[in-house]
Amino acid sequence: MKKLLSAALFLGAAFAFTSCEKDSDNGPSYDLSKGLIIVNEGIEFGSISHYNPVTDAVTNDIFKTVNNREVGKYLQSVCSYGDNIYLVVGGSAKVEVINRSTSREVATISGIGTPRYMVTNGATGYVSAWDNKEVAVINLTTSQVTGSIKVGAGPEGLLIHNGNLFVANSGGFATDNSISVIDLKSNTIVKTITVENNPKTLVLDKNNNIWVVCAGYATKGALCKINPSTYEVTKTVIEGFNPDRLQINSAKDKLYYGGTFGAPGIFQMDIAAATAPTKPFISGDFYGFAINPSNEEVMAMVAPYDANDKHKMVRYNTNGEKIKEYSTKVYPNGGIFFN
Amino acid sequence: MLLNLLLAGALSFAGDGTPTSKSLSDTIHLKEVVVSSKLKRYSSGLSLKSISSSEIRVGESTQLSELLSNQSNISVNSYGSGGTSGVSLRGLKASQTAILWNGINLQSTMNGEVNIGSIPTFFVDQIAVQQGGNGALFGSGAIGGVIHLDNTLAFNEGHSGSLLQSIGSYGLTYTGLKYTYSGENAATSARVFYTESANNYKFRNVNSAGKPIKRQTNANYRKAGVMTNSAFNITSNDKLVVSLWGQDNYSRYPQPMSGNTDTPYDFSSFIRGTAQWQADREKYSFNVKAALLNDWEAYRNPNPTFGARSNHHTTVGLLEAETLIPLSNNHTIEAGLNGSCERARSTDYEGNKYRYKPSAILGYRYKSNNSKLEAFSSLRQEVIDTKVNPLTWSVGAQYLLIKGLHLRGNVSRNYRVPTFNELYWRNGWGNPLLKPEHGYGGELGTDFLLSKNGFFLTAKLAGFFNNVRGWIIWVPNKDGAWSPENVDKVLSRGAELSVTLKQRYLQYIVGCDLSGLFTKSTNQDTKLQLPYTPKYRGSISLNFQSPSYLIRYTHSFIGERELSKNSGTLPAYSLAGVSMEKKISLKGYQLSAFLRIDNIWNVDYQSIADYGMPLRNYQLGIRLNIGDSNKN
Repeated sequence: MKKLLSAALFLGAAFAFTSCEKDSDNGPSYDLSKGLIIVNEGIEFGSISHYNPVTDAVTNDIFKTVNNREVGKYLQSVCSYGDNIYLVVGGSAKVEVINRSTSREVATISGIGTPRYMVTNGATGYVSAWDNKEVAVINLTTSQVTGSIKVGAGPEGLLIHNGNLFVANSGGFATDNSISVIDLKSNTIVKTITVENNPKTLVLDKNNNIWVVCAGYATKGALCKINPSTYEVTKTVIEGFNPDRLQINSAKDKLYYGGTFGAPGIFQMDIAAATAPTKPFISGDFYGFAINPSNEEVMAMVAPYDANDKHKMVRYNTNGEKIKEYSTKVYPNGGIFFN
Repeated sequence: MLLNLLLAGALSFAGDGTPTSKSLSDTIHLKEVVVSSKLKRYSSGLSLKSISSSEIRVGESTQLSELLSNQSNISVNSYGSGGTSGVSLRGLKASQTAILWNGINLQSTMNGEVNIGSIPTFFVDQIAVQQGGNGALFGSGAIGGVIHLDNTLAFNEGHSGSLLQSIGSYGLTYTGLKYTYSGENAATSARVFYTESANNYKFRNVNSAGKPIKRQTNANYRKAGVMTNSAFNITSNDKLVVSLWGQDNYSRYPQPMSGNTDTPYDFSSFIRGTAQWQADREKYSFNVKAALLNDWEAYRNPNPTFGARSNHHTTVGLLEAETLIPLSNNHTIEAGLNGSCERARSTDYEGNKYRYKPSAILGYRYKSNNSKLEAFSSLRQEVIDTKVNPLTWSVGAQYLLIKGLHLRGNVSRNYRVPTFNELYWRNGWGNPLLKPEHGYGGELGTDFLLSKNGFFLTAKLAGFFNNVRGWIIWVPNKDGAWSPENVDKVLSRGAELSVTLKQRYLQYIVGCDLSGLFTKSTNQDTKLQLPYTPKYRGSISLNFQSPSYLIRYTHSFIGERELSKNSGTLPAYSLAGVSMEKKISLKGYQLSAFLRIDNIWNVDYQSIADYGMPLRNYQLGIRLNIGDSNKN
């Protein structure tokens, strides 16, 4: 009886998916090619949700419904390459690979201790991993770990620019204030740049400068601009909280940061600005956010710890006004847009 | 009185091999437990279920977690077979269920729980499960209920001994040895157990692509222990009872199914001692009890990032004095003073932490002249360090409506003091300002008993509720650090039913036990069912007994369970097991061979999310009893 009920629900959920494909192997599938993939960190298990801009709706539990299993503990981030989406499962020492058009599981890359973020360079992937203070190197064709590069403590954000991999060493549970620069031809560190304490996320602007947001837990938060040729660092201090999210718009001239526990909201700063703004662009208690590259709308993630409040995504227009709310799963922290 | 009848849930396996010599409703009086039993005195109106001695015997070669998992009214959550296990009653949490050994609360000062995975069933002679709170009688932590683990020791039974040896799947070995000398004025029993297992059990990894069957790595363990119980009749009216229990465990923690590179393990050991002086005088009686519990634990997780290296040592000293004064045949009053001192040293706390809990208890019992009505009430006032706790009380009564049918009810106010982990964790994460959780509980039920002409039937039906205010949970504060707060309000309510049937035909006895539990235990703000509390649970057990065989089949059903914050559910499952025993007659000895098959239908299930549980597994062993008396 229970099995019949589950089967009926399963089928019902499959039909509810907007882009259902009748494949040669029947089974549910979900197309992730366009829209926003939302990363829900989870408590027991992480999950992905998807925002479809055409239907203006969010679908939850995609991995579980398509593949009939949990993705793992604490989904930290996602990355894409070719036909695949890579789910970095921070609590289960692995990266799960799914097909972008069907969401079906393709492979599991295990053995990466506490993985955080991933970037790709051609058919090679790089995953920052806290356990052994390293970046794992993955062959994306075979889905195998081929090696590792030692970096600083708590490697977090990654950025590839001009054949170099920039790794933000956030300190993990200790402290660090460096960016490791790795030459991808030799997989060796060519430079270690000192920035503010606890660098987290990296973005590239239109002038080819690299920005990193530093939480500065024991000191002060800051945005550091790095010239990738001279490695010169310009620091913009952020007062009042410890920032750890950083995004940039598609025109690459406006930075968005904040939007995490402890921040008064999501801040917006022009890359040419001399000082950080004092007031947030969007006020509120957020856990993360994602910027829509086509229209610069802000998709803010709300994850209150009050047991009463549900976790959700709130869509804001370019004036910072709320448009709509969508229900997500537990602890959504951001995601990636595909247009 | 009712307690004794309720304990007649099963027959004792007669030592002489002829059950016809005992009557079916052989009321197994709660054998003179080693320590004077408050439970026995104050049971009227309480929901009490005794786990029969034959069930305990069947589970003798396992840990207590396996035995209690088969009881439908107890929720056991385990990290794999033989691993760390917690128990909870009435849909509440493990730190709200007290587990008493000979009347001493074993709940940890640090986290309020008892790891029943390390208690060997071989060290327990009698188990009574009392659902519903009883803070007034048993103090802090008894909100959901109390599980009483007792040792029994009788006088005048001569020498006896038993040996238990078994081997099982995945490298399991279990050895138990017991020797008892029981004289006219002195009795002592000593027992020893040793078990180890490679525990590389097969399980289905449902959280991995393709759901393959894998072997558990990093779950091996080794446990050993010693226990002695001694009783002395110093005079004809004074008895001294001394118990000692020491144990040493090493166990590794299984890894979650989603994947992990961690290989944590821990070493833990404890020494527990109690001494009690029971005195009967002409107009009153009194007893004085002292206990000292010492627990050590070293936990290691070699993970370079989340790695932990922690050491803990807790010491609890307890002193209690009670006096019972029968005012007449109908009324008895009782007064007591109780003091406990807890000390903990931990790498997770800054400095030594102490807590003193003196309390005063008053009790009153009434029994009508025709014994139709029995009632009790009790009051407890506890002081925690220097703060006065709210008064807790309990009232219960039972009434014999017609022959064999009792109506019973009880109401109580209960509490739980915060654990040291909640108060002092890691220099600033704990919250020393936490207040105790507290709440009310109540129950109404009927018990029916019928026994005649070789047929035996008991049925119990009850409805209950428990509410808890100021339920402590860990919440993140605005800086992202987590801290415990008295936040939640929880209401648990439901109904339970249990039926036992037995029929004797000539030398054969056929029996059936049925039980079901419905629990709606919700957070009052979100209205969501609490995590890990199934709405429905049930079990059925069929047993057959002949002069030389004993066969028991148990089938449990556990309903769907919610995960935290509406993040999903763990599926419902059914779990079944069989155990068989054959007695072999030898001159002067009783030898029996037993076999048990657990998870006989090879079901994959999760007790705690993301931890695989063993597929079908076996255990084969022998039991040898020598001596003068009927030893179970």
